[in-house]
Amino acid sequence: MVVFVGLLVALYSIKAHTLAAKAKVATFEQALISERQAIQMLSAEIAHLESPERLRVLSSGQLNLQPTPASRTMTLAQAAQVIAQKPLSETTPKTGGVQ
Amino acid sequence: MNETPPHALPNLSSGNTFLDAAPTLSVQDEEAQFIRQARVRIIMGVVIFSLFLLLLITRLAEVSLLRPSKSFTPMTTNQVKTRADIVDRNGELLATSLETYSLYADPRKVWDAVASTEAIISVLPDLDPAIVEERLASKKSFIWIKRNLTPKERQLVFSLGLPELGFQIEPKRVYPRGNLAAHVLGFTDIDLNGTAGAERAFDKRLSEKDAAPVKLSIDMRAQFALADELGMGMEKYQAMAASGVVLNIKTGEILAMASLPDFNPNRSGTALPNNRLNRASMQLYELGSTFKPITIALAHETGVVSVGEKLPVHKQLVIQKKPIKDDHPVHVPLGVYDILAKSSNRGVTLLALKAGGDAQQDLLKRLGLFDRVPMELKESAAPLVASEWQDITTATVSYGHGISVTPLALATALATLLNGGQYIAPTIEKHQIGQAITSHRAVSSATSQHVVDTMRYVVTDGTGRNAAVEGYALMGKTGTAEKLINGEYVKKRLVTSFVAAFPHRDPHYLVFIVYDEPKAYDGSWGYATAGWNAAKTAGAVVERIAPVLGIKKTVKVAALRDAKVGGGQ
Repeated sequence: MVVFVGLLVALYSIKAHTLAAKAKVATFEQALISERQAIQMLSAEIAHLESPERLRVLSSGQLNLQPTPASRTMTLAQAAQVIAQKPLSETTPKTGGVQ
Repeated sequence: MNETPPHALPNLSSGNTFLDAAPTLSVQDEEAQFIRQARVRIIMGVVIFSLFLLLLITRLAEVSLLRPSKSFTPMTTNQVKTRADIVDRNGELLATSLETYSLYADPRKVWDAVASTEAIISVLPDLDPAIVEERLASKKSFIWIKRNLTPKERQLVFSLGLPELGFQIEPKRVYPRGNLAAHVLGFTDIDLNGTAGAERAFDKRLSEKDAAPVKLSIDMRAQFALADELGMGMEKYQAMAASGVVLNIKTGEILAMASLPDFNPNRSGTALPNNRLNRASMQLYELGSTFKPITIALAHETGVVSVGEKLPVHKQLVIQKKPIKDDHPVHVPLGVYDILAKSSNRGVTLLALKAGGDAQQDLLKRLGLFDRVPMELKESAAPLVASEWQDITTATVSYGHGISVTPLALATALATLLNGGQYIAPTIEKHQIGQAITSHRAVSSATSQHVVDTMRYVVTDGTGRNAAVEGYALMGKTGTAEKLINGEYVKKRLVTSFVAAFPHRDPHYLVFIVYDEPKAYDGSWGYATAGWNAAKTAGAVVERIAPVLGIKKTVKVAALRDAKVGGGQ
């Protein structure tokens, strides 16, 4: 009888601990969900802030920028080729002051 | 309870023995009585304690062994319906779900419906007071007041302190990029069920618990460039509507698909049906001369015209009493390249008639122009095809009349001609590296190369010169068609289109632009034809998206030599 009661008490104790741990896990899970939601919200805000239409309005209004035309672009290899084909005097930067 | 004390006298009245005969005498003193009472109390206490202990042990046993442990759900949002994100091909967020608070009320707790209504309207002025009051005065136990409140609205309602009001956490679908790719993304209803676009197409997958984000084939940068250029074009050319598609020829992925006027999917309920219509995949047009590359492919595939052969496009041509006219009349016979470059209706009619109506229909079928475009989006219209295929049908279809298809359908067909002749169904889902692509052969690779070269010629020497972009070796074709209104073609109401593909050495991307009823503008010499609007827009789109898509510009050495370095020029 004593052993049985002892086992019952032990079992109850384990169960109580398990429930407490479960409650703790639930709290953590809840915190995790809240944090995930916060991340989701921040991601949505970032996406909104960097949406192309918004940036276009800002860049054209505040900085007077516009898309770069193809005629103004070239690859680095092409740029190196251009520099190589230029006469040395044209490609050497003038630093001024020491001539 | 009476006992015989040790000092009691023998019972004299009983039996034979002395003891039996001795009389019984009971003496009860006060001390003995106390002892007896104490014993009784102790025994009762022990019994009660034992019963209590037994009860405790039984309860302990019941709790420990028999009762299942309850799971904890303290104010969690676990039960809130979730929906996976939609991202573009580079992982940029296009659609997500956020938790919002929805306001409800328990009308049974309302003291004064009029006062409560006034209080609610003071913080939520967009609600209809009559409806709110009617709901608050009802006998129900639960009514919605407003769903998906903003955080500010929630705080204002909270500060009212009305006991009949409560909040329920509800998810809300949010499209942080606003109008961008609205027709591709579609939208959901208030219960988060996909009702249009990708939301509808991938509804099951998006609704699964802990589902991964759905990656679309859309490139946000290309999408914006397309929509931006179409928007500017629509304004400049005063068009009624515009649409465009950017297609990866090699994989069938739709990199961008735009339709104007558009709508904000965050407020899809208030959008006009006209704005919600995805013209790129739902609107049927007779697209005109952008069909001609198909006829060029037909002629090459059937071998009805030899290299260097010239056709009498300068002579009158009448089919079943209908004269076939050219917008750019010439006075000499033309070869195949010039027929396409000068967009000769007579030229392609002669080619199509030589090939025959059956061969033409076969090719159109292989290019998917007799069926709706088989893609994930439900918004894909079936074409309008003549029920009876006469010579006049063969003639008109050769230059894009007498058959109505969506811009996406024609873009897919033309992409096939530029993809070595392999038809690939378009998709809005990102193609994974190593993923098999289902395709079938529609024309030979030689025919495909022929179309590639003739379309390049259109941009260098033909009607598509306005689309040319330095360094990207564009191929293209213009298309200007009069609209069919009440069975009559109306001269001033045009649908203009342009197909552009690049680069010429290995066509990888295709851009298709359509304007609905564009007008002439300053500098167009009174023309509103495709070369003056759709071609320019297609060129502008290519110029913006080619560097983004990683297509290197080819620059001639001479041009390199003369180029100036630096940003100040």
